[in-house]
Amino acid sequence: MEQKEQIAPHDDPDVQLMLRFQQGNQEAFRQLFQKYTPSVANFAFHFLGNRARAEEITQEVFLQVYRWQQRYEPKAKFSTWLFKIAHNHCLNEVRKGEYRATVESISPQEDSDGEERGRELPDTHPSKGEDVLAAKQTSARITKILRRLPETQRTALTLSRLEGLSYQEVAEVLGVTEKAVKSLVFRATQSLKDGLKDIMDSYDL
Amino acid sequence: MICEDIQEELVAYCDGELPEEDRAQIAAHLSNCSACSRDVAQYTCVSTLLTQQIERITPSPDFAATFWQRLEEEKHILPAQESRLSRWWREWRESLTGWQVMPALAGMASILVFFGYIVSDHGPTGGPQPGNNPPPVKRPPTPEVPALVREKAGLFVNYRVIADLEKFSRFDEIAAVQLPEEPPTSIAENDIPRDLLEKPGFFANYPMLQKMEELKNLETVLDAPPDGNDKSHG
Repeated sequence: MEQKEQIAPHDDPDVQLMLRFQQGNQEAFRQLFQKYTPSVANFAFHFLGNRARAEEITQEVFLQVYRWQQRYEPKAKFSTWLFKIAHNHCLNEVRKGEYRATVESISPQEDSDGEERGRELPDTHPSKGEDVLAAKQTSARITKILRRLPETQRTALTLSRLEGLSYQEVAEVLGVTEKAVKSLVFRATQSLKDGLKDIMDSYDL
Repeated sequence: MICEDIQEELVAYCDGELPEEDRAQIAAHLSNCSACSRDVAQYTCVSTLLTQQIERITPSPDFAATFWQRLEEEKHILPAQESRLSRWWREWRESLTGWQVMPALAGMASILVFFGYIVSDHGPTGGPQPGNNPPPVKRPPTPEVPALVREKAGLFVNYRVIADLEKFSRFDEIAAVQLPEEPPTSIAENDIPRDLLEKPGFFANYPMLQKMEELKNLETVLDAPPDGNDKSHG
């Protein structure tokens, strides 16, 4: 288990890009947009559970980055600042009231009565097709467990695990302490572990 | 080390988020505790499953084109048409999340109402207060306007001060008038008090001038210790 290292804001190449953009370099903004579009879109998707809204929010986030270029100060890594904007947009979206969290499922893993079929797996000698099916089922189960998590736990977990932010950076995004992030990530991981217990058992863990 | 106490630390340990000292303690514990080691293995497995299996989206093909189009539209609106005040208002509004907007607007409304209250006739110093009527403020009676003034409003021009002001507007004209030369006032040396000749600072001893001197050096006077203290220290 290696210890994560913190880098100073000015050592972050994306901070340098943002500073260049601040000085009028449009190409720098284009690079940041291309680099972070998938991350922001996925963050919004895991937050909202809706692909179309996630894309809409991602556009708004980058429009805001463009509008706020002169207000930007390199106090933290660029990604921390960006996800903070994205988090605020997602919160606004949820709290508008118009939005209803619906989970888009990419595969039909549930029976008509809503029971998951993933519990039949894993097979000890699965074929390639079965592998793909098992992976899709696991993916759907993870998505479902994530959707059931409290908002802050889900956000802390996705930022930490999927976007690679440190606890300190997650704390900055959420506006909480690092200790609180440690607790949020622990509880979210614990819920996932409980929800995927059969898979753990199948791995003899 | 009790296993229950370090459960929360285990995930942070897996994430490499513990300080070196804590990390060493956990590692030492894990080498002797199969239950916690199993938990660590499960947390690691869960994290791997999450990162590998979670559903990820790829933005739709027209995503980037739509964005650059929206940005171009904004560029035309933003710097050219937006005043400084409206830009500040927009940026302030955008910096607030949904749940912050209502309290912020309520706060602004309160400030506006407060200032309106102060500025209006119903401020704290004026106007009747419901349920708590203070005694009416006695004001000096307005002097009765003399009948002559009421009849001839231009009469005030004759008042001395206004007449003097009138002179200012005709300054050049008045300055041109040759007045008979007044005999020069000569003060005989004998008329000057002897003390003043010998000590020009004599007037400083006069009570009024002394007071003015004190006011000029107000800070020094305030800082100076009272006489009594001097004596007590002396």
